[in-house]
Amino acid sequence: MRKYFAEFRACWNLVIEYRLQVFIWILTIVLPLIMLAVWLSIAEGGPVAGYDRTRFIAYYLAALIVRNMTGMWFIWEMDSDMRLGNLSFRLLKPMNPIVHYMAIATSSRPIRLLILIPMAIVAVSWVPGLNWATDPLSLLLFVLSLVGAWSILFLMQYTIGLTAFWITRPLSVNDAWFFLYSLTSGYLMPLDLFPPAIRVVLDYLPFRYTMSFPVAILTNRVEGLAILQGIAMQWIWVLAIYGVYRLVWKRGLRRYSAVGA
Amino acid sequence: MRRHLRILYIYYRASLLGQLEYRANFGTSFVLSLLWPCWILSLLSVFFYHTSNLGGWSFYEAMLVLGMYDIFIGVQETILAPNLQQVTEHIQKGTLDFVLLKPANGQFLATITSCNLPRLFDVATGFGLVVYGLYRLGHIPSLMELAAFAVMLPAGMVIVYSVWLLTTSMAFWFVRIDNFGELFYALYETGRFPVTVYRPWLRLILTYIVPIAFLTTFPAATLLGKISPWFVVGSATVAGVLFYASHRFWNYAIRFYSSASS
Amino acid sequence: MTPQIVVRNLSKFYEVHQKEPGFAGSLRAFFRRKYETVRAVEDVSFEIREGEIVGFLGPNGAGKTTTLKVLSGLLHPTSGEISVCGFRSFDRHSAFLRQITLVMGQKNQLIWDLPASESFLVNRAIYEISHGDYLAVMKELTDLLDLGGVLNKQVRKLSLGERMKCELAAALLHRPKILFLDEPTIGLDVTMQARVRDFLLEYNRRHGSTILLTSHYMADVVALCKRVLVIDHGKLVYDGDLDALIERIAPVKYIRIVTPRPMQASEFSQFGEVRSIEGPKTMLAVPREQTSAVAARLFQAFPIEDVTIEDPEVEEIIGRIFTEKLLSR
Repeated sequence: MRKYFAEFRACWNLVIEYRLQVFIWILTIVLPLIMLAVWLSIAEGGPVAGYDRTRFIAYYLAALIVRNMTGMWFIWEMDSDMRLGNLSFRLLKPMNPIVHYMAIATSSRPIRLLILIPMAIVAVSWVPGLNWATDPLSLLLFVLSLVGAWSILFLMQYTIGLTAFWITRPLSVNDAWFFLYSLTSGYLMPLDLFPPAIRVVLDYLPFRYTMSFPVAILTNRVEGLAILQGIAMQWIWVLAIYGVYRLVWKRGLRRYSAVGA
Repeated sequence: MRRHLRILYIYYRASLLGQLEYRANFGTSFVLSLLWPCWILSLLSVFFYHTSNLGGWSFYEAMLVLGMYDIFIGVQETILAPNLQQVTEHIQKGTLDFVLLKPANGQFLATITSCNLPRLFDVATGFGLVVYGLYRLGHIPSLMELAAFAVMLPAGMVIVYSVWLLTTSMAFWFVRIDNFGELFYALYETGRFPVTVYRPWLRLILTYIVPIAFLTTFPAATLLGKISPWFVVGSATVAGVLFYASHRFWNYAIRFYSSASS
Repeated sequence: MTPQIVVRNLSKFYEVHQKEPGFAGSLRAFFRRKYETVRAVEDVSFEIREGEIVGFLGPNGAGKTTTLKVLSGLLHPTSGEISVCGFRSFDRHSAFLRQITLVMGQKNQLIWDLPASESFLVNRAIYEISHGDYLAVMKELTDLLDLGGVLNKQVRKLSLGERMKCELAAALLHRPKILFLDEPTIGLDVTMQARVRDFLLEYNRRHGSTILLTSHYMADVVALCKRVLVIDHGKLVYDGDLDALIERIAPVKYIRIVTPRPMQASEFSQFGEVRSIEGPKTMLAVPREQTSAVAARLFQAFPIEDVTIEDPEVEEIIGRIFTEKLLSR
């Protein structure tokens, strides 16, 4: 645990050092806003399947928050570490490298909150009829769902990064993964708006628990028991992906030959 | 000029040889460049599941805009993005000296010699989308339209290059600039859809300030017969102005170059 | 006392694909690959006792770095047994990892954009170093390595020499018993190289840590190692005393004399082998045991203005081992 905090502290210092860059990173998450712009233009002619303009705004702003808090980009560091042979150094230390990447994946969140919270406050105050769940219990459950979403996405990206033991550019696999994630999680568009036949399939994938579900909590579209069930499903998926990760890690270590070290 | 072309050929050849080494990478690039059109077409389909026109553009008309977007992103990823990354690395490590000391134009060497050839697939799929869209619309562009397009396409390339050059030049000040380019990527994303979809104020920005409209919407419109001399002249002018400005800025930036110690 | 490091019949083979030159070759290789086995390390056995400073010598690609990596647990041997401090290194137990450290010249484990002190804090937590120990170690390393003022600058702003010092400090925070050093002085200027050597000697003297070192610079090896392991094409061709090696390979000393007039080779036939004559300067190779006798006779035979007696360059000696295969079994 202390090792994690030490890593976090170092990553935090890096974040502070490069706050400008982190700020720019935050600004580059515009895909939801572009989608919103297109939907708003479509919705000018009337609500789309139950989504009127306000509901679209509520959805996509919530998606922006969830994306900022659960988005994973550390695979670039993993890729560079492996390519440059820095993984050797990590393997030589009595600490599982995963701790380092966990620190990376958490260190930028506080700064993101600095931007997101004011944005959320502005949204709630100035957009009439936004209908976000702002009571403490809902917000707590929202945060819990974010933790679940974070864990799922972290393990997914970490495992993909570990494929670097076998292939030279796991970034390509990550691209394919993003393709799947962005379409099926509700990031690009609310899952309600997909044709019903497709919706059925999406329910069985883990991705909806990383975006659609947390957004639903914040936008007051799911209540009570359903929330708890959703959180439980998140952790079932976390366990499943954790199992895959352990397998890949063991196999990968065996295969590891310190190239370029 | 011949010398520069020859140098370019050698670098690209080396790049291709280098990349053939990574078979999996090549293969996955190919697969991915098939995936991305599917991705965006799925999005488009969901939009058109709920509506019959997007800012006045029909499904197949919008497909042309998507195609143009792929073409330009493909060019960017193939030729430009690897160089930006290279230049930033050079600046971080202080090795830009090696590049600048070689007896060829520094800007040339630094900015277009690295190339990520597998991304050319994206350019191919982009053209594929454009052609397919035209086919489904039953519209064959007239000679005039093609001629106008023939001006706007390279003009668009020059615009993209100039914007990248400007971004790269900023690397001299912000040493860890690699993500400044991401900001442009983000703005580029707006180019996936016809510019008429957006609010008037955004439309203005995307036409005059960050000229995305000239890259995707206007060329697509030209091919569809919604031609106007304003598009062509505008493209060429914007391209010329940006190229000149970015070239001056690059030279200015080099003067501020400072290498990391040792 | 049992040796700290025991290696028996270690072999490490890699599969590498053959690349044919040219464009056609690349395309062919794209569709079908030919693999070839590289025998990086072949049937190597040795033992090292605690506190020894041992040098690994060999031409590039001989297998020295591979051996170090296997010993440190980064690589899995293809066959053979390894025991380091009683552990099988590739199991990479926490207790094992705490006792070793690896430093690679020109490769940083320090975080590039932060001051070195930040990397130290991370290592301190990873190795679970207590506060008291940490302060003691920092004080010692700051003194020995002269780190004052360097620790709070960003690593990327440091000179190569300063960076190396910080790398060494970061690697030694947890007081490992074994130091694996792969080309630690590469790229450093002469003064810095000497400083690193002095530091390593002092550190070994104080703490009795075992040091395994690979280096291209003979000065490193000569200054630090009494014992060397010579590896050529993956095979261990010599394991023993460095001085003995030099004696065995080159049992000569060189006598250089300067005479008032240019000399001819024939004039020296009674004295020794003439290696070079340049006008009034002559260099003779003379069997070691006879050096002073021959020198005395030279003084009697010729008017000599200047004389030096020296050992052959160690580089030359080692180089000859490989070019002339003087030690092949």
